Amino acid sequence: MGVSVRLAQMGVLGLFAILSIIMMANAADTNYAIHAGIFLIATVLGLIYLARSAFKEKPADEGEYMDSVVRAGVIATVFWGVIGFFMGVYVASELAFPWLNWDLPWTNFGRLRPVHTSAVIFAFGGNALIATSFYVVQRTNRARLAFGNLAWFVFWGYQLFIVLAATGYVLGVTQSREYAEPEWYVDLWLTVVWVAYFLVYFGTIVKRKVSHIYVANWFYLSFIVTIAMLHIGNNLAVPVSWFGTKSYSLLSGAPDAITQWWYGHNAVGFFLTAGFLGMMYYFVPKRANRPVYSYRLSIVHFWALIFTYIWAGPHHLHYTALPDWVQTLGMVMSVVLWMPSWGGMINGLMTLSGAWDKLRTDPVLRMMVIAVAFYGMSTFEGPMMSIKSVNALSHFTDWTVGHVHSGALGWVGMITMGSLYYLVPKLWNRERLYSETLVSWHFWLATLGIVLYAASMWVSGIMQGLMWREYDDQGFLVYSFAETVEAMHPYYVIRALGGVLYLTGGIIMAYNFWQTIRGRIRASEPVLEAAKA
Amino acid sequence: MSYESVAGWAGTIATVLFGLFFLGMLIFIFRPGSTKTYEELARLPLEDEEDRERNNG
Amino acid sequence: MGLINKHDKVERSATLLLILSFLVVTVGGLVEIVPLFWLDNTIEKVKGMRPYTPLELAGRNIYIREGCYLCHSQMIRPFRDEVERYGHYSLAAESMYDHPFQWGSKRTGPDLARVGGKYSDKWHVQHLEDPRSVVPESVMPGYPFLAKTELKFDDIADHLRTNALLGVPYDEDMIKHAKEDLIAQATGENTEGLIKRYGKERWGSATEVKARDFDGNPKKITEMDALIAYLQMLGTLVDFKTFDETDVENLR
Repeated sequence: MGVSVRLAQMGVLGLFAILSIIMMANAADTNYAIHAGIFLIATVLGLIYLARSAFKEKPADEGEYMDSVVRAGVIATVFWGVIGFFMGVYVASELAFPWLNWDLPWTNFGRLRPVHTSAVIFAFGGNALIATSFYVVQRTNRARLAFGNLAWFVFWGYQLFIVLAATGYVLGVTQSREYAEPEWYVDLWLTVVWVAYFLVYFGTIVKRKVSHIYVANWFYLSFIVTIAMLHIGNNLAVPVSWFGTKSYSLLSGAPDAITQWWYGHNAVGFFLTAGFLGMMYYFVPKRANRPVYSYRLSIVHFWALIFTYIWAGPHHLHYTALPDWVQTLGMVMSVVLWMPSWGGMINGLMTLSGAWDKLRTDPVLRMMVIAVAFYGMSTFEGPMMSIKSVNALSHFTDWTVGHVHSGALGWVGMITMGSLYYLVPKLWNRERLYSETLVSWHFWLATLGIVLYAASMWVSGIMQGLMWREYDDQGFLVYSFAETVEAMHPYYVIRALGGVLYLTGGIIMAYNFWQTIRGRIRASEPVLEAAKA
Repeated sequence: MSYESVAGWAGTIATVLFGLFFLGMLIFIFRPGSTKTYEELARLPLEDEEDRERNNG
Repeated sequence: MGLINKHDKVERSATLLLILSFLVVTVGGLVEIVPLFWLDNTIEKVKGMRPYTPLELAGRNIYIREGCYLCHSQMIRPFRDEVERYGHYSLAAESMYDHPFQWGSKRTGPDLARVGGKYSDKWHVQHLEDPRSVVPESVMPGYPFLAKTELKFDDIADHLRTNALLGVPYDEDMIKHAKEDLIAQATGENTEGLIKRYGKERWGSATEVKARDFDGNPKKITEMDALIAYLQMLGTLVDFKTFDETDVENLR
């Protein structure tokens, strides 16, 4: 990288720094000033780094993969994962023991719940996707990441987005769009970062040294492109002032609702599914050391999945004031979605055919396989819940929350952590993990945690749904709303406990990685064949 | 534009689009000669370490 | 089979893959969202809907800020139990001035689409400050800070103007008098202008604009005033005597 490029980069960062000073000086509200301040600190740190390294950096070797940014991404994934799981446990406990809200603005459930959802989806999941996609795209295309250190801008820019989003929620800066809560200026920043991410990813595919594009890249690519489309489409808003946090959404009422759930469901479909399927199509074959069961099926899986998912949003709005034909269309497509999803699940599971014995000895592979199993379970439950008559019962209850978590904890969490267990020894050039036994512990704690979580939410969700609609023989409603809330208490406690188990597993993983990176190997542990592979 | 007419053709259009798309895709993946390509492709991730496993960037 | 063999390109051309997959993911959104903008039937024809008063709008922004929508829906579905529990099922028209919509997705607490007028202001103050003092089973957080925090409304006219830009029928008169209308509603004094601009006579609403000291503290206008003003108007606008659900025009 030439010095002139470095200077240009510093110029851009300098402009951002000046912009944030202007924003801070004119801020119409305190929260905006705080955010401009965070932005200023970030740009100044960036400038200092660029200035210090500008003259001593040696040109990158095109024959080498750029893995430093992947290592940073792995650390960020684990860091945000533990924070996100903890926030989940905390908000779950608030529902069980409301005094935990402390009667303060910054700690109430309404403000902390988006901190939890964004931390696990965007901070944990997003960092996992960015890190693994950078790893996979280099290896399957036999090319170093494109555009020099732009990948580093993607990494740090994305962390800045997370910090801005999370601090905003605590301070009460929110658009109230679920899973798209950050306000307009944070959305603009994420757009800049995402375009850079696309350029790095796509640029690497373009300069590949193999003729075909491996299917994992298809999933990652469609995740990147579709999230860009959804992010921009759902966040169209007009700020009250260019120097204030508050904005009003472009759309209102029913059209706004369908746009939000077109986004919301496809955040599940493309962020939490397509992206992580990219992960599955690379890391499961790698860990099992076998090619994917059917490459042909993976192509069917890809096209059918991305085509169908985008229609499914209206199932979040059954029986609402949304036109009926949209609801029906959404329901039909959601049921159809079952097929490609299970095609993918079968493809992932059958990759192990002939190597099932590895499950007994390799806890990492076990983790990946249970992830795919949870993917299958959630993608059966989802279409079922999108059927209008089932949805009439399940909607607005904890059943939905349970469903989301069997997908998020089971599928997204487990496939990520399985992939990380594969990645960490590779990235740090270690012979094996610090401890396979701790991986087993993590596996069982997490699995038990999910079982507690999903089971308690099934019971509480279905129970509350039934209580709301229960009539006595005189034709009166049997339960007041408050009585149905009271009935939820034991299940909220069990759910929080499930979360504690899952969090404990995450902390064990962090410890295991810390020791692995330090180069330690836990004594008195049998070395597994799979771990050495 | 009445509700009834939209409700009618929106569903039909969606079904036809999806059917055509799916059919096209099936023809595409079963094209002659694809089996060999796909077998090679499936092995692609497994062969990326023998030729170069360096990660110092 | 020459043509079919060329299809191999999709797997080899990154750009083609990009364009094709982008086209595929746009179809669903286009078919489901775009028609809603020009279909007459998306929003019913009803009498009574008016834009939020400046104080209600400020209260709504507090509702959004505190994340109330995460536990409270504002969408009554057309089921017997819901209609009995909460009132007439929600119409699309009732949220047509909502930027953004607040239908919600979870009922940890009850639906609020028609909570307006169901409880006294005093009950709301007590409930928001210490929910379990009035509903022992409640798991709602307490919001005692609302009554202590003065409402910031210096820029309220800008908020109205932004909404007007997005199609909410605020006229110049309303924007000009936004601040005084807000004060009038939160104090219950000098309300003639407020009633003229937002009253039932002009908009045909089912109930009149409620103007009074909502939080029981006449010394200052607090966030509690604004939030309760908003809660007390929820679902009280549409005159259901004028709504014929069997009219073909109103079928969704």
